[in-house]
Amino acid sequence: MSYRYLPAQLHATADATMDFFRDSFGLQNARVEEEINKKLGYRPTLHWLTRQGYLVCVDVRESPFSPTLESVVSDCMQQCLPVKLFVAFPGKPDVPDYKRNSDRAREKGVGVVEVTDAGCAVVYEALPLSLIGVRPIDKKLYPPKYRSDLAHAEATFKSGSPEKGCSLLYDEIEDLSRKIGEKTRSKGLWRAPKPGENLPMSQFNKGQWRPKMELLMLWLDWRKCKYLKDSLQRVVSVIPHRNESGHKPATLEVRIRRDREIKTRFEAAADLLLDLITAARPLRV
Amino acid sequence: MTRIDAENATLREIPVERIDRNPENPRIVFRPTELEELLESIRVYGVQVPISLYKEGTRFVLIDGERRWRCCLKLNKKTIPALVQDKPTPLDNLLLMFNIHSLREQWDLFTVAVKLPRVIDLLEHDIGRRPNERELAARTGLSRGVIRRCKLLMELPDPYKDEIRKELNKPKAQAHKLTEDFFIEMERSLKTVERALPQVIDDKDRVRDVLIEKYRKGTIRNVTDFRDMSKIARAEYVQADTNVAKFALDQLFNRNNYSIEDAYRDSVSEAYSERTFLGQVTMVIEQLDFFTSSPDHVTDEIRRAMEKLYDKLAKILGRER
Repeated sequence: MSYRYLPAQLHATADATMDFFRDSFGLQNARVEEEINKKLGYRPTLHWLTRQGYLVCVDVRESPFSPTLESVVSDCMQQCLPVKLFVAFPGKPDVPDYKRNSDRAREKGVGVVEVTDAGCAVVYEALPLSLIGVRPIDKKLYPPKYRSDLAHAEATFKSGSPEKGCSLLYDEIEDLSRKIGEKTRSKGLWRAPKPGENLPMSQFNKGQWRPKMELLMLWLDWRKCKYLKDSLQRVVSVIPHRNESGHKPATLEVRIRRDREIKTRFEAAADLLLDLITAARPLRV
Repeated sequence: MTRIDAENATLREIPVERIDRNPENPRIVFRPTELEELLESIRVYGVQVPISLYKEGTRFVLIDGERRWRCCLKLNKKTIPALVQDKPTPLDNLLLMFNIHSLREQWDLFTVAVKLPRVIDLLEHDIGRRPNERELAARTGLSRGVIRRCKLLMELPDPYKDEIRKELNKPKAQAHKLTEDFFIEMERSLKTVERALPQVIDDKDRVRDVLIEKYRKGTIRNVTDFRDMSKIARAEYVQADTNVAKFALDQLFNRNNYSIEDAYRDSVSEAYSERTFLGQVTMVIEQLDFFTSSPDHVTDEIRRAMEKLYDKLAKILGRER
């Protein structure tokens, strides 16, 4: 393979990495030192476009991280580029600043591949840079019982399953909104039935979410619990996304758009959950 | 002098994809750490110094600035500032690169050494005879000392050249063991031994291997120790016993853990010390001649020193005062 930037002493490492990604991940016909995006000021040593619309990039270098890569990561996050960036380096005892650089790579979601005579080993997996730029959830603002689930949702989102990450947040929102329904009815915060109407007695913890929320919006006495109105209206608006597993994006453009949307959706769901918890505080759910 | 019309060179932004590297570029080593530093600098500050190119059909060929060009490719830059010059002759092409680097950042000596024979060939073709060292120095911008050192490197057998290449590919921050300086010092010293005591070296490559191994293991501690090896070979020069010198060198080339320091101590150390001492005494005698003719210059401090010297000499020579 011919490289224009890569110094000669790293060519063997790059070739071995290419073989490893072909054999382990089925990635063939690597693009060598080519542009991955017009706006990105960096060309990784190798890259492939996967069928899921991800760009798997490998930068071959002497050590696992550098200030230049830091800016590449930041640009990918800002531009929401669905890049999974790995660094492949020759595993030798004298890798400069190995510990500090590999820790930094991991923190930034950059994967690390060590290449030795014995073969290649993934030291850290790469995370999709379009997703790890999601605003972190400030868990201290939430009651303790929510914190571990929130951490799990966040980790799931960043690790490449954004739909699942969102879904975990929606689980919390659904659970709380159902409890609000049950509690407001038992506390007499529903309006009186009009002539010909009967107060619905169905259980809120069972059945589909949407009809239950529609019922709640219809029967809540807004004069008594005005504080819930804004949050519950927002809950109703997110219900359509509840079970949206989404089709896997087939092109890079679709993936960029999808990742940008889902990042916003995840952040909005975390905000909604916090607002709902705050609004429901007087009900002691 | 090189015949490049630099005044007619034009400064332009050239698409990086239309640039090719110069196959004559003597630089063979691009250290990753140094490239990385330049990459970061260009990322932050851009290309501050234009590269030099010449036009070749619809494309451009690098004269100077391969590392800057490579970094621009890596940073996905579309263009790079460049001075576009007329296409030089093959000789001017090479000489220009040599001169640029002798004035600015120095290449590794080995890099120069590899390309020097080509320069000599082209110059020979140009002037109709083999260039001498002075002419070569004038045209390349290298000093005669550097040219001589390059020649020593080029005379090395290929396996040793490969060792140097391997070493040069390591980051500069790492302590290089088998440096160009090591080989230059060793070769100079071996040449002296070959000239003075040819029978000591049975197989030059074997001797090289022994010395390299001793240096790697630390038995030979410093590259300048090889200067003492030359002194051993020149035992006759200080009237030392050449048979003892031969034996010491033989031990050095065959016995494990026997260092140059050991060989020097066991053979010519005393003779060289004596020679040094005699030289110093001669200088003192010349100084004393001066004081004999100008006694007014003898200060109290000098007088005290002379008396001390006189006492010592009287004691050594058995003529007590």
